[in-house]
Amino acid sequence: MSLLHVDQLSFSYPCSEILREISFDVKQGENVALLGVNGAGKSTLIKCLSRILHPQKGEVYVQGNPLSKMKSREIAKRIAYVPQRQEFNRTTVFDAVLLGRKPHMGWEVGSGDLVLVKEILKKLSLDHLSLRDLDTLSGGELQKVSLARALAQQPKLLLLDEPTSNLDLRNQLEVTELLSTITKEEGISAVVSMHDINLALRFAHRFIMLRDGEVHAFGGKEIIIPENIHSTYKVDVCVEEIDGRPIVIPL
Amino acid sequence: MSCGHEKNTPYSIEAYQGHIQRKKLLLLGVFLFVLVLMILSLGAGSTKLSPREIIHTLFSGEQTKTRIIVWKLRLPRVIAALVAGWGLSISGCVMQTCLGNPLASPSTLGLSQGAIFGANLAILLFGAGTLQHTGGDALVLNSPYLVTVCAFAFAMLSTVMILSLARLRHFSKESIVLSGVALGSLFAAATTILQYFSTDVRIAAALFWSFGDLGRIVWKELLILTAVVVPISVFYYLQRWSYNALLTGEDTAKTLGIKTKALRFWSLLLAALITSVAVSFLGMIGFIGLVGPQMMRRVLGDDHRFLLPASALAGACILLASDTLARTIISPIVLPVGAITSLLGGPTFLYLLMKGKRS
Repeated sequence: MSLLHVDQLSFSYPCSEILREISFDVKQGENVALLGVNGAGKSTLIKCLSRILHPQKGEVYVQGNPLSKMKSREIAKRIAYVPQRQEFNRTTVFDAVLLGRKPHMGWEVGSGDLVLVKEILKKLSLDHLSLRDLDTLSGGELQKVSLARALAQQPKLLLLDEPTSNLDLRNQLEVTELLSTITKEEGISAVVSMHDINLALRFAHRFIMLRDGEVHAFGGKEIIIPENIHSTYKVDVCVEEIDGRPIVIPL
Repeated sequence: MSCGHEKNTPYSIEAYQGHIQRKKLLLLGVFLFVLVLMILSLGAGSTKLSPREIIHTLFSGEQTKTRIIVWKLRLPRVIAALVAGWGLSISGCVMQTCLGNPLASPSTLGLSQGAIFGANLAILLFGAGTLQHTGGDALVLNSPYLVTVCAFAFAMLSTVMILSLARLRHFSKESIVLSGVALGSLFAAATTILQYFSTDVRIAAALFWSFGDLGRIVWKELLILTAVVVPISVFYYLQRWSYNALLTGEDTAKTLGIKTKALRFWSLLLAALITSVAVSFLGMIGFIGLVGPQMMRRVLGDDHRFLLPASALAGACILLASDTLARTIISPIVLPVGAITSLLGGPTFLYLLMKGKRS
């Protein structure tokens, strides 16, 4: 059974239709990259999957359960979201990550919560920043803290909205690398919207190309071909293989 | 502050727990400070009382002159300062968090202007009070409850209007603040027009009302104020993690399982309730809702587990200190406490702002 099943999902704002009859599946442990031009509906789709927005038609199923019938706390135990832009305030990194335990929390944080947060911080090499306030961190560090908070929710599915768009090359690679490792180790799935196709090729198992609110193509590396990229992005490219890995080069 | 922490071993849970412990100690420190201030305030006045005398009077049943001074005159005032300061500050803190705006306060929601309009309406139009030069208290309100009820009604009216607009028209946080400012100026204009057509004596009475005075309160009103402030504070404290989640942004908060719209609506409504009750019993006491939480944000950070109680204590502390100064500085004249809160709070706040920038 697939972990995430999206069935005929449509979403529109009062004046404009954003998503039209989107359907796809994500298997457990699978990373899916969401590609498309600005305004194609990538962020809206991510928000519909995390129930930040409520689609007018269609349904999203997680482990067979329809999201529209689930309590928000139950959804939060299964799906975690990392927004494109990180808010910062005077909260320590440790507390910011501890907040990810909110859906699991009773009256107060337990010692188990503290141990889990510590492990996550260590895994993301954030432990030396534990007691630093968020407003003293760099963009890359903030992005990692946000990812750490999402992991503290112990979700089955991670949703990331352009996690690399504000980062430098080194941080872009580091964050995608981290995502690959963690989803593999923990067996969790991820749906990630991305601008950089080459970065997406480094870590995603499958790709969704969105065009004008519809799924233009959905599949593995075989769909990353010049024709599809041309019809999605309106640019001519060639796809070369370097070190056994396809690389998209604009012409 | 963070640089100091890094020298300890910041890798362990113990380091984090130490960090939490320090915040708790600070909170305890502020609490003890408030207690000391309370004893000092009870002792200050035309009859000076030593801390020993005060404690003796408070806990023994003897009927003495000091007992009357403490129980009848000073204690209601001191408790009013503590409860009102606590309430105004904690609701200011919640308003700032819910609206994502450091300037959010009763006046940004149009609430204060609504209350002033209500009181003016009662005094100017319904003749609820006049200014007389008899004895120490110049303001004589013929029907104080009419003033209180009108002030409360209009403060709540402006809040309910804004919150329903926000609910029905799906306002953003910014729109809530902006519509609050718009509604506030509407009420201010209506007040001006009312005053324009009134007599000098009545305008003076209305102005006196708006100064804010803790001496007005009697035990019964104090009980009502406490009955409003305490349960709402408990509600706020139960939501502490939800407020922390709100700080990460609307979307992230939703995905952490928070019903952001409902949380914001109820939190703001209850904050308005506290302020409306306080304003209608005591008159305008500005600045505490803004300065109390902002001071504590700078000292303790944005974690609402500590920020909520700390803001409440800071508010209690500022109002009590201000009131004690207001009635002792040029005794027997009692200065308007609202002016003193700003006089004390303003410079302290500026100092903290500058100190924050340097580090």
